[in-house]
Amino acid sequence: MKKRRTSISIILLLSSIFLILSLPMKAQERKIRFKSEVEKEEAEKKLQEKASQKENVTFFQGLSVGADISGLLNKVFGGDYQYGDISLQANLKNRYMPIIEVGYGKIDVTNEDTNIHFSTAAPYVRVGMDYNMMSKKPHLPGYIYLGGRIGFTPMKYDYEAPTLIDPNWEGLEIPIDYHDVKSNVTWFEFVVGLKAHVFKRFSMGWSIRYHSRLKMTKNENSEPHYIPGFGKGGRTNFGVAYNLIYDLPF
Amino acid sequence: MKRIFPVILFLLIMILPWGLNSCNESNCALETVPSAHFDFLSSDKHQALALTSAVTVSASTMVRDNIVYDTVYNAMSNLKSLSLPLSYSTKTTYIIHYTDLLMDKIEVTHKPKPFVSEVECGVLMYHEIENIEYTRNVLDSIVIVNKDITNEEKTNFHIYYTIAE
Repeated sequence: MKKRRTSISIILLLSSIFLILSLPMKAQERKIRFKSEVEKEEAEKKLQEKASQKENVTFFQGLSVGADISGLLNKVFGGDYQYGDISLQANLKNRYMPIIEVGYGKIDVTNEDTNIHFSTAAPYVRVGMDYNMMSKKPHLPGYIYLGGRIGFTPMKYDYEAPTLIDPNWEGLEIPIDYHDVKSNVTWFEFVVGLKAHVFKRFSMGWSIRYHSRLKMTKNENSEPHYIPGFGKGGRTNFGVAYNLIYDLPF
Repeated sequence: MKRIFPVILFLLIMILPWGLNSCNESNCALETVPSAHFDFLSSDKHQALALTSAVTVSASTMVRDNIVYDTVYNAMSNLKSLSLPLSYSTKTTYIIHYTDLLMDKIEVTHKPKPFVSEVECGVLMYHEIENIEYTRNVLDSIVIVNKDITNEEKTNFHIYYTIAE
């Protein structure tokens, strides 16, 4: 029993001596580390701070609703069709902005030279996303964006034209009168735009849009003169949108 | 910067529509009444050839139970091809007169397809070839190359002849 006690006290004594001796060594080690790695540590700290700042950019930054008023102004600028759409857009990380646009377009036109009448009125929808090119500068009052959309309209249209008379054989005639011609049209839009904060939660913006038709239900005797949401001009065309935007408070 | 931004935006809004309106000008087809194009080829080598003798080509169709004729080529020599009108009915007949007694008759059955796509451009008349029948007094055969007759300048038929040596 006595032997055991003695051995325990020896072990304690030795370990305390070792501990006392090791203290100045540790202090020396700390000193050396501080001198050599102070710059590295500071740099690492800065990097960590930056990383934590990046992590702090919240994923969901809000929703906004908008209205494209360019279609309503189109007649003022000499156009023969009208359209309007409303949009709902989410802001993700102030960088990615998925959007859905729902609208309605109509036209009722007769050409004075050819005497051809065309009319349609149909809804359309566009789904896509914008990319904020200035996401690293959130202090600015606006930003430039690039985007893409897929558009679709299930339309019906009417054509009326003077009866066709055979130019070689008098007496042969073909009437031109097509009603409720169905056509589903799908197109792609490339968008370049600008959005600027105007007042409180209100913003304004415009965008230039390049439309390219992807798919259209073919009809034997006609193609639509105007496609709601897409516009006029065959397979491709340019359009413009002026948006009034309100940032929702959630 | 904050004050100038909306001003620039407003100016751009006012200017842009005029610039963009010019992008939507339509390109109407100049040819609204297309023709059927026939090319002459040799039967053996399938090479282009010309009809050296003078030929007269007439086109006819049925109008209100009457056959109405129209001369398209009158005593033309060195013809290498023909561009012939199609009627607004479903059958057009062509007669190639090589001499007073020698001729070939070509009967084309087709479907007239009026086509309208822009109100500024008027209505175009296209046709779809459904069948062709012909006599072989001088010609060897006729092949349909392209059954759609549109305002594009495309060959629709090849007429083969045997070249006399």
